[in-house]
Amino acid sequence: MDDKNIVEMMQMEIRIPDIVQEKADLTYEQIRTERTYQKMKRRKINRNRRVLPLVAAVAVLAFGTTVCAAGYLKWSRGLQNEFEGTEEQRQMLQTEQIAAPVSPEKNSVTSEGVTVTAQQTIVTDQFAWLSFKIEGYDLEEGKEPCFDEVHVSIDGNDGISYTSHFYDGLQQDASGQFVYEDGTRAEENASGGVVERFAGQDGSLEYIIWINAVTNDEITLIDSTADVRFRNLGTVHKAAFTPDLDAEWELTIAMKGSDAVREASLSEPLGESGAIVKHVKISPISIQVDYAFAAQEFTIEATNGDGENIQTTDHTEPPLVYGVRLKDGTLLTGIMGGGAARRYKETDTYMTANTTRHILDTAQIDAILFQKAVPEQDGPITEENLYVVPIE
Amino acid sequence: MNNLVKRAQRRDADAFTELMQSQMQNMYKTAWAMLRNNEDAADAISDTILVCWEKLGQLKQAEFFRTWMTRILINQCNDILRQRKKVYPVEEVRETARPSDEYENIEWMEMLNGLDEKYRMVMILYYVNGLKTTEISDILHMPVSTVRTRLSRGRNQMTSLYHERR
Repeated sequence: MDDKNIVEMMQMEIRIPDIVQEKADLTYEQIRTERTYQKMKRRKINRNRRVLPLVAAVAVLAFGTTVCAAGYLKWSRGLQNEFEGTEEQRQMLQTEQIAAPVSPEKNSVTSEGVTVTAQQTIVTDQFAWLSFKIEGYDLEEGKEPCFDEVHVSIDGNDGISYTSHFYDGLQQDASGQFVYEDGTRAEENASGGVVERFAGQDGSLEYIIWINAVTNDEITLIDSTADVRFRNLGTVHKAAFTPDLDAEWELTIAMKGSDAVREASLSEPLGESGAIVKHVKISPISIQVDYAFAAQEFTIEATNGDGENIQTTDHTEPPLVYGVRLKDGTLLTGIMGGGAARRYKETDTYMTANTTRHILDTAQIDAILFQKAVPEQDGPITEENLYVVPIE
Repeated sequence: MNNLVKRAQRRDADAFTELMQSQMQNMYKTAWAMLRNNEDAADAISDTILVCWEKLGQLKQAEFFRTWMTRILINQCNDILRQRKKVYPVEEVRETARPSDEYENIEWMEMLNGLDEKYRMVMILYYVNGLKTTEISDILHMPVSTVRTRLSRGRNQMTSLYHERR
């Protein structure tokens, strides 16, 4: 079975169920009658709005600081979950000025009894994380918190790529099971779903924004200013937002960060792949690789059930980063996180940049690992399936 | 399609309707692959249509409409999934009563059911939505190497299923 067969099977025409088309038609009709999206959401909302006493918000603020008396940054719950590492490694990021606390006095806004405080940043030249503490909001048990709108701009530029979420208190252990921060197995609810723990021990919630500036040449994250606006707080269920508070919180956060990286210029071919690793840049939480690589475009053609020609185009890619080898021989694999890639057709070069889910001691890395081939069987990739590129 | 996008950006509701309807096969297949029931898929698609109408003006390049729309749809589906947190292990096949609508699409759905859950979305985004591996990596927040691994294994699995049925 070749790609053409796969395309034909995957793209076969199927019947759109009545419930799906009818709901879509209703939505189109509502749009045609000039009702805006905001008005349509308000028709769905529960108008049982609650306003929480301010006293609760003020009391919780006593726990809001993240910088201990010793001057060390105590990482937020959510960002600890984003990056595997020791306490020493986390302190190292602060020393390197990649991770930094945010002064709550300047970056805290209270509206309708709820206080949103920017508490921590992690900033490199390509990626940034912002963590916010939300206090004074009494989240009903079993509900998922949600902001109606979140808007982020960097130095006034709102054309940035970012994702954001409320931290749900869940992690995965070595066997892939969901556990809470204390290591206990996550509970299941009546419908078989996992019970999230959005609230910390002090009742506060945490919101994390991840910014990816790899493919945006107009954005500089280091020493920039992030303007973040949150609007309306409530809960979400099945994509339907139910507001509890009509309010806005606007914060301006100075992002410092560091572009300190370990770099190596190479000319290392990756087997018969046609790719040559020319340059690597390693920060404690990201890896960028520049390749010489003439990506080849290919098109898969097929015919669908209606006799129409369908095409899927893509291009070949070089072997991608899979991890690192440390000087003591330890392989750190499966650590790569989100990022981006760029292909430069004119110069036959290719660049990838990804975060790492493990804090790296860059001085201890002696090789970058690239994925050679996909093993036939499921399971971890071993060194025989990797290109090992030593770096000085 | 670029022309439809630009007209829709000028708040032409008919152009927008035509645009979204042209993507209905892709949207339904993607939503169903993630949510596995029509009611939730209908909710996710309806909300995706609303968000696209609201935010289409922010799309700077019309040629990226499909990727942009797919990202919105996946976010809507993930919101629903977070409430359910259901995982379907490879060994199990979720047995549910099949409404008559699903019976009509049974061949496609059985093909999809034959794929491991972790390969399914990558295969859908690549072969149904026509996204590149880098775009899939960005949307699913996973490394490109993982996308390629899952594509390769998904292809192998489909090939095995194809030969078994013959």
